[in-house]
Amino acid sequence: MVDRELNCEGMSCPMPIVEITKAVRQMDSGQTLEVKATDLAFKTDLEAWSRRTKNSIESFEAGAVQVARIKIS
Amino acid sequence: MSDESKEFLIILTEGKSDNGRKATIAFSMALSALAMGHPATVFLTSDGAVWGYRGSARQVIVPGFSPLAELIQQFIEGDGRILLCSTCHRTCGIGDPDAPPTVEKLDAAGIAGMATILEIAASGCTMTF
Repeated sequence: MVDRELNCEGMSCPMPIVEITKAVRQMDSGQTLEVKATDLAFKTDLEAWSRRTKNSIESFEAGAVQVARIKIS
Repeated sequence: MSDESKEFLIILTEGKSDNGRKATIAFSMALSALAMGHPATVFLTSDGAVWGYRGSARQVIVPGFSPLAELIQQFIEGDGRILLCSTCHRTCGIGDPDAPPTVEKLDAAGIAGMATILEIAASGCTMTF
């Protein structure tokens, strides 16, 4: 179940991570955020961000539009 | 200082001669540091001091990046700190160096001297653009 969706398609680094940070601040622990992004560095940036913030990536779909589900810690 | 609270100090010395390219990357990096949960400070010095004044980033857009003015605004809103070199502020303004600056500083930009910057640098991580 997704609690919130965030569309970062067309955004370049670092804006997807910045927008995710803003969204997560408005969410509660245990909720899931789904993010769509097209930035080429999105996967590696998201992984670094997750390690740093202790949030976890539940799933990641590669492709022209990448889709990640993030579980809020 | 633990890694959790390590501050990132980004020193920006490049002005408009590269059409805002280094400034855009510097503020993108600073914004990323905030997103990663690190305190971040951008120190504007030398030619980079120009970015500490109102209107200087207007219409500065590097292909592929967000507009510089937007990056600076988001950095400020995210509690990022901008420090403007005190000597540059006094001497790089328009007119007589001994007269008050005639350009208007960003409200969010503080004035700092070298000791302040060295103190931040000694306790965190520094990047220079």
